[in-house]
Amino acid sequence: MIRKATTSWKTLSYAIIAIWLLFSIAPLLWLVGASLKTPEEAAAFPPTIVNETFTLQNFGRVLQSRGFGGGGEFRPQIRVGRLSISGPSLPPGIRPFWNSISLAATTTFFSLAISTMAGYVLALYRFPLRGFMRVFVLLSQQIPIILMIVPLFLVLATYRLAFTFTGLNLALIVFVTPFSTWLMMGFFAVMPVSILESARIDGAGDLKIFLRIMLPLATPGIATAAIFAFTRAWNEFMIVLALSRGQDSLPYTVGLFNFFGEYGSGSWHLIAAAALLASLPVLVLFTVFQKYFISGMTSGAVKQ
Amino acid sequence: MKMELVNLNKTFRDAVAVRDVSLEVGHGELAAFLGPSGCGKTTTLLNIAGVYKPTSGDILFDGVRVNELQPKERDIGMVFQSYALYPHMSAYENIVFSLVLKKRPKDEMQREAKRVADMLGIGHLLDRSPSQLSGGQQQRVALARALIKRPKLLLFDEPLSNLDARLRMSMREEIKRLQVELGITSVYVTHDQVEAMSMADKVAVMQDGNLLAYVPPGELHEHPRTIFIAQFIGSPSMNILDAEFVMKEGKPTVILAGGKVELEVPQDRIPKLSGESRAVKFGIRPEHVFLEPQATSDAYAAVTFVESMGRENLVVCDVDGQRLQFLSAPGETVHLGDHVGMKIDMKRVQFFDPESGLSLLWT
Repeated sequence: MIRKATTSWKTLSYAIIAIWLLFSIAPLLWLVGASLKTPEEAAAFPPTIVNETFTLQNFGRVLQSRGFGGGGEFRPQIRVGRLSISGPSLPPGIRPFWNSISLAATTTFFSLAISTMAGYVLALYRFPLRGFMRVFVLLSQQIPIILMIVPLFLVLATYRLAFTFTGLNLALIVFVTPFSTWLMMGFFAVMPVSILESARIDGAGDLKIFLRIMLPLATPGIATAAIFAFTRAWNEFMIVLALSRGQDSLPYTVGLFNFFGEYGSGSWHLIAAAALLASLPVLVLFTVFQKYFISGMTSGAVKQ
Repeated sequence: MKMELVNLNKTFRDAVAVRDVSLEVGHGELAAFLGPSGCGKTTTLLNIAGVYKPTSGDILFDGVRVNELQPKERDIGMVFQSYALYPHMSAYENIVFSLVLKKRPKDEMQREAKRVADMLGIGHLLDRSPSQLSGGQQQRVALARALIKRPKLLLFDEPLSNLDARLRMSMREEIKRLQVELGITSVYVTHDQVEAMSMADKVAVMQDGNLLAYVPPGELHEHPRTIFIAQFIGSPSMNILDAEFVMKEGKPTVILAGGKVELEVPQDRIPKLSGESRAVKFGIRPEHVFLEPQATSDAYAAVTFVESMGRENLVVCDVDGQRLQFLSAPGETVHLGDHVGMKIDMKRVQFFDPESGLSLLWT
């Protein structure tokens, strides 16, 4: 039985939550504040807690900066096979974000394509070495990335993919997929077997069961895996730094790194603006997809 | 369709789930597989469905071996305990899913869905998703989904176990009515003996993967082949007492309660024994024991427990250290600690071999 919360308890719990919220959101607020300061206020010591000045110029300077974006003006291009669509001319600072988005999006797509199928098979099918393979998927996550960079570089070099966008993309997929597979495996493993048997009796083959029954039911899991894959690819720095060369294909993490180097610690307002721009896509992604974390798609499927 | 199992075996690694089961379900018959959990009844059903492949033995549909056929090639409909509805589809989409897979035209789907939905009284629920349906409604959708394929064989895996008692009773009637009307051969797995006894034409009792009996419900109740069946069928369950069977002054006699009780055995209930006298298990159902004034009673014992069952009371006595329970008629009041006399209807007794548990009356 649940006791009805008293008013004082409610007040206290809200207070605790509020304090915790403030504590966790403070760095973000500071970042937003700093990105809106004029250079003079940003350089002031002691620093001001609440902004005295507000300006959007910092964002403009970041986006126009050659050091961040490299090269001149930027035209986004989407190529699918021979078809190619060019976008409008944009400031050079957009380029690293565009690079990151296309990297993260392709990584997410391919890692999901692999991990949903692999997770499904590893969770629900019986075959020799299954147990070993399941452990191996997890084990591959325990190796520090730094150890993998040299061997990975050699593999990519063998196939003439070193320092190419495709090579970088492949590397990211390789790093993201095992965990997504592990995640999907967990989701599929708790699916009621009777639904699967029922579909089989209804006449669905393995592929139909996967596409029409299991994938829709795994939507929350897929959303989780997608967010994970996207943020991981979006935030990846080490692999990208080691496996990319040249200004044009740099993702924003390396761009940010170069940008810091160029402007040093004197320009907190610019660094804050760049960092805020960098974290926006992930913030948006989480806000849009968070409902999938809490939605119970399988409710009503099976009476437990 | 006639369904036969011939020496069916199913082994999971080292564990034997089904051992040498052979039986035949005639056209339009409903066979119930009855047994406690883990007895192999669901495994047998999933073998028939084709979800499992038998380790050895054959499954015959109308005399044709179907061991190698995929579930979808077997012309079966199945209803699961958990309903197993597809939660992301509406009731209508659930019902027609098998037709969608066969790429049937839309109007045929609608016509067929209407046919089965009307049959089950769920026509007004077709737009709802499974989570918006009650347990009974979900089970009807599941049944409709099984029936739309016009299956030759219907398989039920404890379909009513998740419903409350009253709904269970009405669904029981309804399933039986549909099954008889449509004349579909059916296999019905349950652990509920009332369900099995009331619905089935024949009941297969299973224990530890073995088929103990495959007989009509009445015979199961009246002529139990083993102690397990005798105690599993019927509620409250049959009393089993240690006893000795002797010929006393030329009369067949059973001695109970360490010699305190001697009862004459009627001719048609004399156990088949090799020797003259032997230890046996004596079985009598609670409804065949009656209260009796002490002067004419067969046995006399202290009441150790009285349980009200509404219309009548279940009285538990201690007969020389052994438990004997019987039903007292309405109006007869018995209290804890009373000493009561009992009359035993000897025409209804059962005898079992104490070692093997097999009946000494029926084979």
